[in-house]
Amino acid sequence: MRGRDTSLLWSFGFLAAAFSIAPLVAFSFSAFAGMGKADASKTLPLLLALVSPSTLSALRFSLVQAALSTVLALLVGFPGAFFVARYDFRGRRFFMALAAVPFCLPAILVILSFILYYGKNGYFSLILARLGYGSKGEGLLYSIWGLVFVHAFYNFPIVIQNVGSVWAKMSRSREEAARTLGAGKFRSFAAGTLPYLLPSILQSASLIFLFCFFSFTIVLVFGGLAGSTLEVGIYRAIRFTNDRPKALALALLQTAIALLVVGAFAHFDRKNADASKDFGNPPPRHRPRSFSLLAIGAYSVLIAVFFLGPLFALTAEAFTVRYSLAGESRFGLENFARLLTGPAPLLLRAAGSSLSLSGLAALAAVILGFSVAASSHNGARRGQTAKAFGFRVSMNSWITALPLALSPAVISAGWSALMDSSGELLIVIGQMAIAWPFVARSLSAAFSSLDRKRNEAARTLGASPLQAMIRVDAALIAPSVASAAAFAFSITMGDANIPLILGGGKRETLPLLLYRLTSSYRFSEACAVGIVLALFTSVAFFLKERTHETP
Amino acid sequence: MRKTHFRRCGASRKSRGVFLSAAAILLAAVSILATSCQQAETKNLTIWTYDSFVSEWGPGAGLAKLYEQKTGIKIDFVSKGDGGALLSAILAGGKNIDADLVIGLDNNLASQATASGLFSAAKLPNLGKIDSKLLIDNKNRLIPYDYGNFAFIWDSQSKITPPASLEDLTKPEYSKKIILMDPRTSTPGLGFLAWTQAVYKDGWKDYWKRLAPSILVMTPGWDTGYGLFTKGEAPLVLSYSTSPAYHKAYEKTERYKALVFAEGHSAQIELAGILTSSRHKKDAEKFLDFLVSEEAQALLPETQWMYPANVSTPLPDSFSVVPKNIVTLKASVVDPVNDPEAAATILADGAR
Repeated sequence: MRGRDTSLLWSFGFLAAAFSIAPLVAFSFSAFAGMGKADASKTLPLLLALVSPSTLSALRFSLVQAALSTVLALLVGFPGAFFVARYDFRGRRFFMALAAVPFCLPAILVILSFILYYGKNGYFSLILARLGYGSKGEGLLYSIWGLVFVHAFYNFPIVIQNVGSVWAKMSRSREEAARTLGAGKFRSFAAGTLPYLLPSILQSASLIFLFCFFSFTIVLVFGGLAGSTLEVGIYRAIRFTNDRPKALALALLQTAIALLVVGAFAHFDRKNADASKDFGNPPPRHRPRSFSLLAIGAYSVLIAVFFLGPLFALTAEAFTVRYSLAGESRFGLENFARLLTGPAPLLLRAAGSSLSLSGLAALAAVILGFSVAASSHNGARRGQTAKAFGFRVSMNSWITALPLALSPAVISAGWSALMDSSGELLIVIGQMAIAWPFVARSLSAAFSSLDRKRNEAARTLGASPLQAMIRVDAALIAPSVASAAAFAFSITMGDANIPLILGGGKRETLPLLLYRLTSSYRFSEACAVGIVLALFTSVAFFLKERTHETP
Repeated sequence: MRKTHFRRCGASRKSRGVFLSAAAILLAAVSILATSCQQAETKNLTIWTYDSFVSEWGPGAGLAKLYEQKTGIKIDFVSKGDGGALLSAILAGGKNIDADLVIGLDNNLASQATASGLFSAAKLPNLGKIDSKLLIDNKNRLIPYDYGNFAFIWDSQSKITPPASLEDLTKPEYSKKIILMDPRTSTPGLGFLAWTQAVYKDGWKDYWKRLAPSILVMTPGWDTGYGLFTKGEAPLVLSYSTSPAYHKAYEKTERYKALVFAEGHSAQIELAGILTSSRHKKDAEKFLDFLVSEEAQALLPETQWMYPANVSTPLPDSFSVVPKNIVTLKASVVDPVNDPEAAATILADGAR
């Protein structure tokens, strides 16, 4: 019985790992399939492709921009993490929920919103010009600094969420002890808090680094002239020169480096999990007073101006009707109306197919993610040694982090090589493969924070491990499952890569509609679709309130 | 305590049941989806194409409707992503592609497509009506159905004087005034590279070096670049000479003007072809002939925003704003594997 449970659960782990590796393997086969007998002669160009100067400069640029973006995101996010950890204030939950943004907003919307806000005719620039600071920093947005800025302001909520939630649970006794021993504010923080916070900081950093390392469209638009990334090389090799061996070589190089980061991520992730175990009861949060209230206010203004501003600009654009004849524009619903009327109500249809495809993908992701999370936490209850348990947890960290280390372009091409027909099924599977690791991550965090005594009590009373799990743990964990499901839904809803590269089959999803609008000169209508898309993805904003989950 | 033993088994089965039923629901849903998209009839023609061709503003639906009215044959369009993805899908599918025709390759992808041996020659009665300079495949495996000249679009409400040649673009007055597309990832970018190579021959790298300070941003695709342009980020953008027709038709404005350059322009020629794997070659040939007939071609200008390949097709009013005096150059990228990378690197170095 016990053995069967274990093997059942373990097989989910392997299944999950297979889902991340299968497309890579399929892509490798397709890369070598065309070679036939001339394999040996092709190996050399494959290796040469790795060391060409353009590859090396792309690698350098990928690393530099990702590192700079990560540092800035940490700097922006850290104060936020402090505030949500220590204080109870209006908008606290909103700050935490912002973490859904980087996962759910398609890159093209990010680009559009930043242009609408920071662009030459954007709101921010217009306000600056009003204040007499016009035409400073012309073209700055389209340099490496613009790129780093966009990346940082896209990803910093991850820091607030991850670091903030650990910090909130941390007992203040160590820091207070240091204070009593006469240490200053800074020293007591450095000695009593920072070391325990470090794993979560580094975990967020490695996650953001990976996102920026693989970022493609944003890099090309905002950093297009500053340099090129490996992902650009892969994309071009697949799409334009159809040089799959080269794409594979670049992808392997990219993955090798990303795996180092994933290794760090998995390591800190586990440390983070270990560290947060010993915190005991979370200290109470205070209402902010005088100075801290001022600081929170200033920080909120900063976030509103730099981060919410672009999102606001996007919303405004969706409701703007333009008559470019005289550059005139006014508020109106025509952008939506055009999409809802006509021979086919495009927006409704696309929303329908997006809902059904993402719903299925999210459901599948929750089932797989839940099984993987459960498999790695069930072991400890059977009196496994700490070492074996640690191994399981670290395996779990690796399996769930692995998909982050694979090139999106290669993965998409791999899926299409794997299954040639039935576009819808392919999209569901592809999106499920994107979403499940996040489900598994947040559920393992939930599992590890479960009160094990209740489970043990049920076991002593004769319940089987599975019975205890379902009856006791499942009841406790249900809210986390619901919020993980909402999160998975948002991710699959916002994902544009998979349907873009595979084609939507016969169903047009919202991201596809958005891209088709932009390639048909209809940018305002694209923003309208973007708003609808954002509304759906923001389901996560409302449902994602549990603080113990880490994306 | 022992009595719980029974319940334990029961609950265990129950819990596994939860898993199983969830899996069953998922399987059922997936299989419904999978079957709903399988086509059973064989009389239809299946055409692989790219996204915007079948989108609501593309010509796909109109063409299919017209053809079904005429012949009773249904057209099934299958979108394979963008143009590059379309070719990848064809090459990956090889001889087993379950489709009859492909619409949406272009002159940049033509040599790879014909070299694959996956396209068969077509004999079309309407072939004589196609502008002969568009016929780039002498075996007629790939048939042109529309084309457009690459051109820079100028925002006439900006305060700059419009440039009149490629060389003008390098002047200091156009510093950071141009939005270009990446030649590594976009068709217009590649077309511009071919354009500069046709005009400057071996000196194209020097030209790109001189051009670099004028470029504000190089976007991955046309849509992002043109979007930045209409949002006023720069007064000049690389696009098609036909772009002003869109603004004329839908926004009733002539603010955006296509510039005619003295050296001539390169072009994008869009191509369609019959797959050797087609089981309805005769029907496919008929459809292809229909595609280049005046009736079908008349649908293309205001959906594709390109010129029809058939020279006797009347043009809509909106095309009155498209300059007529453009000289089309014979242009193709000399080394499609290395030149785009070299060009992009020159721009990046120059911008630093």
